[in-house]
Formats: sequence, C-alpha cells, structure tokens
Amino acid sequence: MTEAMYYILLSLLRPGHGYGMMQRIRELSGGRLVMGPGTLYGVLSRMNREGLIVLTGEEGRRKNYAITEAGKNALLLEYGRLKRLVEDGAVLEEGEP
Amino acid sequence: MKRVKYKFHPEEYELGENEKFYSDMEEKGWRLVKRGTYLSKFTPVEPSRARYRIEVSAPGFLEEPNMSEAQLAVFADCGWEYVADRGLLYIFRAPAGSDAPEFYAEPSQQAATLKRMRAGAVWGWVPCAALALWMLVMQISLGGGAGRFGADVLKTWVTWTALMAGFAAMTLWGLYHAARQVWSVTRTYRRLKKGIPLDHAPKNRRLVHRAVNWTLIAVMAVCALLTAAEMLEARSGDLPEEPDGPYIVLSDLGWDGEREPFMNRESGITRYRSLLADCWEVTEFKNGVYIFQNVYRLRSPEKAMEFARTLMVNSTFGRSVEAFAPVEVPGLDGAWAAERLETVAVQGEYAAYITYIVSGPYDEDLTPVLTALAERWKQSP
Repeated sequence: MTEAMYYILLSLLRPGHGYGMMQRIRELSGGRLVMGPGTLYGVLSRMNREGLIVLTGEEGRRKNYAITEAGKNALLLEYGRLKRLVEDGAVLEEGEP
Repeated sequence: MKRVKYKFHPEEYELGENEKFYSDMEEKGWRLVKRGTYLSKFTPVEPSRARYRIEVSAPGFLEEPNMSEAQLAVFADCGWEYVADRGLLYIFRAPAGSDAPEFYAEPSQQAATLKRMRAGAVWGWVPCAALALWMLVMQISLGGGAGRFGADVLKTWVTWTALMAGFAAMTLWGLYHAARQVWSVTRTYRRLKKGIPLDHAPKNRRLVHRAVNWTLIAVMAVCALLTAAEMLEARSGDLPEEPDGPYIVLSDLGWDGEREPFMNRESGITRYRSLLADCWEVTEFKNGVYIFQNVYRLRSPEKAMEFARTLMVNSTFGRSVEAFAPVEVPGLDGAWAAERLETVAVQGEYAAYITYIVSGPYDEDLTPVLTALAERWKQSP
C-alpha cells in the first residue's frame, strides 16, 4: 500500500469529499504530506475500483466517499505491518548494531 | 470591440513547454480562453504572473473521456481554476504566489497519467503505416512489379514535380512529428518514473524543432502554390490541324480525312508544365488510325535520355526496357520500338512516348512515325 493510499483510507474513516480529504490528510500527517489533486483523484478511482472505498453521495459538484469494510481491513493490515516494522526497528534506539 | 489573439501552441505532448507558454502569455497580458488543435485563443488581461499546469486525462478503455465535475471541483477547491481542455489535456491556472499545491507530490504518480499518451504515440502510427504499406504492395503487385512502380513514380516526379515534392515534404513532416512525439513522450515518461519532476519552465529547446517544422511547412506551402499554378496553367483543347508544338499529327503520316471520335473521346491536346519538363499529351483518331503521344521537353539532353528508360518501363504494352528494340532514325539521338505499337524517341531535350495503332492489315514498322517526329523536332526551338 502506498503512502497516498494509506492516508486517504485513514482520512476516510470520517466520510468526506476530495478537498476535505486533502485537508484531513494534511492534519493527520502534521503538515508533512500535501497531497495534490492529481494524486488524490488517481488514487481515489483506483481504490473505488478495488472496493476499498465507496461513493456515498453528492454535494453539488462534490462527491462524497467512505471507507468500506474491505478498506478498513486493508488499512488495519497495513497499520499492523507498519507497527511491526517500527517495533523491529526499535533496536536502532537501543544502540544495537 | 473585444480583441482576441490566436497563437500556435507547443505540441500536445510537450507538457512543460505548454505550461510555460501559457504562463509567459499571461505575463504579456494575454490569458488563455480556448485551446484548439494547433492554435490557442487568448483574451487581453492586465499582465500578471500565473502558474499554468496541465493534467493529462487518461481514462481507461470505454471510460468517460472527460474529467468529472467532482474532479474539477477538487482542483478548484485546491486553488486551480479550470481554463480549457483539448484532447487529453486539461489546463488549469493559479495566480503566482497562491498556495495551490502541485498536482502530484510524486513524479511517478504523474507518469501513470502519461501511459495512454505514450501508447498512442508509440502505436498510433501503426495503422497508418500498415495501410500505406498495404497500398504500396497492392500498387506494386497490380501495377506490374517494383520496377514499373518506380517508373510510375519517376514519371509523376517529372510531370508533376511540385505535387510530388509537396507529398514528399508532407510525408517527411508526418514522420518527423511521429518520431519526435514518441521520443518526447517516452523521455518525459521515463524521467517521471525515475522520480524526476516535470520541468514546468523548460529552457527553449524548441529552436531546432521549430526550424525543422516551419521549413517543412514552408516547403509544403510553396509546393501547393506551385501545383496550383501548374494546374491553372494547364490547357486542354482541340487539336489544331497543323501542329503548334513538338508533336506530330496524322496528316504528317499521310492520313488525310476527317477526325472522328474514338470511344466517346475526341482528338485533343493538353499542354502543361512542371518544374522539370514541358509536357504535351496528344490524342488523334482518324480513318481507323489512332495515335497517342506524350511529348516532354526536359531541362537537358542527359535528362531526356534518362527519361527514355522510364517511358519504356512505363509503356502500356512493352512494360520493360527489354521489350523495346533500338531503331536507327536520322535526326534522333535515340529511338526504340516495341511490337509495331509503341515507340520511344529522344532528341536533344525532347523525349516522347507514342502509341500508334492502325486497324486492319498494316505491315509497316514505326519508322515513318519516328521520321516525322524527328522532322518536327528539328523545326521546334
């Protein structure tokens, strides 16, 4: 899972539209990740096709998306994987070679 | 009155060049309002600095080709104003200094949008090339082989030089653009895949391209004008009783009497001129005798002699140099005849291909025709 996918799924734990997602991603990443509209829409269409997110409605020109059960599972799996990576890397802080 | 300006824009596949072009125009006080196939339309504004960015819309097979309203809304929410679109390109604008984010933080993500453009560039020419090849093969096989096809081409080159040169320039122009498109899109795609961001303000690398492009366009334009002039200058009409050019009439061969139609065709003459030759096409029908003459005045005796071989291969019945036997005729630099039907002759800058058909019993060879022609050419300047 790419960083963009991870953060989009994370932001969609609270359903929202494209621009809202971008704002939320900036908040979640502490301003580290500024996602452009090109990236956002590329990833959204891909995840929609793969059933990780779903279109829930429209607000004027904007479309609202929400994460699906499959998306939540994928997010949790990725979170678990990343957590293990960090745990494994803790040796670096203990001064191990 | 509202003023507008039209300018040629960079090619579709030159993303950075297009972005810079529109930014530069806005700095000069011209804002993009519409992009056409070759020209962009601008309206006057207060000169200002602005960023232009291009999104390549690359939907999948059978998907809606246009960007969705929702997608445009996200771009607008981010500070990118939709300006125009054409083909795969969607053009957005943001004032300089605005915090509108770049479309892609990762160049490799942008590379994905170029896949369709790249596939089109790499494979788009294949159907055209296949069709051209098929037509060439058909032309060669139906027309009597590669040699005869070559003779057809050479003859057309001599008789319609400007048209052929224009066609060659157009083919070269098409090939040049196809090759450049493949090179440019592939280069951009590979750079993005490697993580090198798109250059939004490339230095002017297009000088050579513009020189090549406009030179070929100028050649095509000149050839089109020359072809038009040649066509306008061509004259068709009745065949005079006495020849007014380097050709013969049947009365020169002792065939008197009234001319008559043959297969709904009247006797006549067409005169035209190309860059390489002055041409006369003469047909005459009388008392069951038919003569067809193609006479050319080339630019040198050497060219005329070379052209004789082309005329032999291009002939209606002989169809090869071997089918023509040399004939000695005083006053001609060269003469050849095939089956008492066709003859090719050369004298100085003149070359001719003549078909001479006499219905009924006739056992003379073509010497009288060639002798009459030699006599006529002697009188021609």
